[in-house]
Amino acid sequence: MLAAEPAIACDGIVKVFGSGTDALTILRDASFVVRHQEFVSILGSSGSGKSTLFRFIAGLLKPTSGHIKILGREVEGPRDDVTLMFQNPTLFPWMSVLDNVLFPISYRFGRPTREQQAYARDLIATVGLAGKEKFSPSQLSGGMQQRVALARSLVRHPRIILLDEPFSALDEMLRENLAIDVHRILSKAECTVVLVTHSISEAVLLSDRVLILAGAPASITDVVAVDLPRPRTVATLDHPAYADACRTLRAAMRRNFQEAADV
Amino acid sequence: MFKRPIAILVLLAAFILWELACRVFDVPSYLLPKPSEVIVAAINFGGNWWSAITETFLTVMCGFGLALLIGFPLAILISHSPFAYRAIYPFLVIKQSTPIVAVAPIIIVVGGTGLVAKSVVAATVAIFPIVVATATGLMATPKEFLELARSVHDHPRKALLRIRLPFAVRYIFSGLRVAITLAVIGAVVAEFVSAGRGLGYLVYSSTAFMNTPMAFAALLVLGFLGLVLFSLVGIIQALLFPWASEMPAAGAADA
Repeated sequence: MLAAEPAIACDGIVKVFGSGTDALTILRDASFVVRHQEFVSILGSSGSGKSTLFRFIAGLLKPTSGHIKILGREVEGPRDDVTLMFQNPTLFPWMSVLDNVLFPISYRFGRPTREQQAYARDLIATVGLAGKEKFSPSQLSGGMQQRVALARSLVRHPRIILLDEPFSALDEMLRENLAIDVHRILSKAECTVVLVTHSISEAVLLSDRVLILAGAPASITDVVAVDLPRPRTVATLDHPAYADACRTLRAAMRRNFQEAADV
Repeated sequence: MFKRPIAILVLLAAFILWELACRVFDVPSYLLPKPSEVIVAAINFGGNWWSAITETFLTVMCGFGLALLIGFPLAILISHSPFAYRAIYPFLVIKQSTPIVAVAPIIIVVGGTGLVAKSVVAATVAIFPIVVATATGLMATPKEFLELARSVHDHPRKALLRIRLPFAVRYIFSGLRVAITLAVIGAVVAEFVSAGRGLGYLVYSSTAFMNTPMAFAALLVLGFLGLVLFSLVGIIQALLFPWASEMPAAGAADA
């Protein structure tokens, strides 16, 4: 029964901010599904409403109308099996690296068990920060801080991870390395991933499918399947299909951009 | 306390210049006493210092404590609801722009010359920076911090205690540093009008009797008391919340 359901199903999502004459429609009938263990990117320019959509799936905001189902159940608020990563690492400066990773447990249930602490240490090692458990976040670089945030998002064994431009504050080389590591770690954890981004190359490098969110009000205008083998590595960047997918997406984005300019 | 010995050198140089100027121009001591006369007056006062200092110190600390007791809940209320903000904030501004010298006699008349009334005067001036700094800090908490907390557990009171308040610590302490020096001013003003004891009263009564060297001595001790209390707030922050001074680097400020 459960397996037949998609991981995420968004159906006819509409968001209107304000009311009366001031009403501004941000999203119009956005519909899509994400399959189990799929990596899907929602690609859109800034202000396209992609962060709003992200917050709907996370249960942090409610759409004006439409339905979002996660693993077959209507989203009514934040769920235990869905975790988030933001553009900023969002680490608490008053906690050590280890305590930040354990935050989802300690904030909810109080003191973590010995097993949970051991698992958090494992995760810190997995993201490449072994030995830095006692560090303060301010002692780490931006990329390392985002790695801590990745470990934190995995600490409660989530089924779904939502990424809101987590690499966009980093410089290019760092960004590719981190993105590839994140992809590998999340694939291994058998997570379903939704990445919200404005970067075509990032979307292609990581995704199985890319959804373009465009228009005003915005909806899903294009769905592009990325036919690249897993695992994604630096070599993926030289694959002919990578360039093809980038070209297709760029053309679609251009077309949307042109349509918006013509109006 | 003096991390910059240069400040001590400046102070010494000023004293020497002051002493020389008084001697060269032969200024009468009731107008401007020489530093040496001030020191002599201070030494002659001897054991009486202790009661004067403790009296003022007590008023400052009680006033400061009172300001914290009222200021924190008020700040939480203001940051929590826009309605409370609009309802309370204008009165805080009016209160702060009314000179304490004008308010203090009224408080003393109503409350008497005891510790309670004097503490109220000190608290009246100290409360404003505490409320403003705390409310600002609570409201400056990055949205993503709160969203992250909410995605784990939707619990506003927990978010206040474990996310908003820790985040506001840096703001709160900058408010406390201003508040403690204002509390000293408030205590001195209260002592001026209540006429009894303390360093403020010492300044007041010494000038009334043209004992200018003594007034200067009391003034210097007051300044020193303010400096000690100000530094103490900084030391407490560094001891209890060492992370709060390095917070901007943690990527919180640009969220």
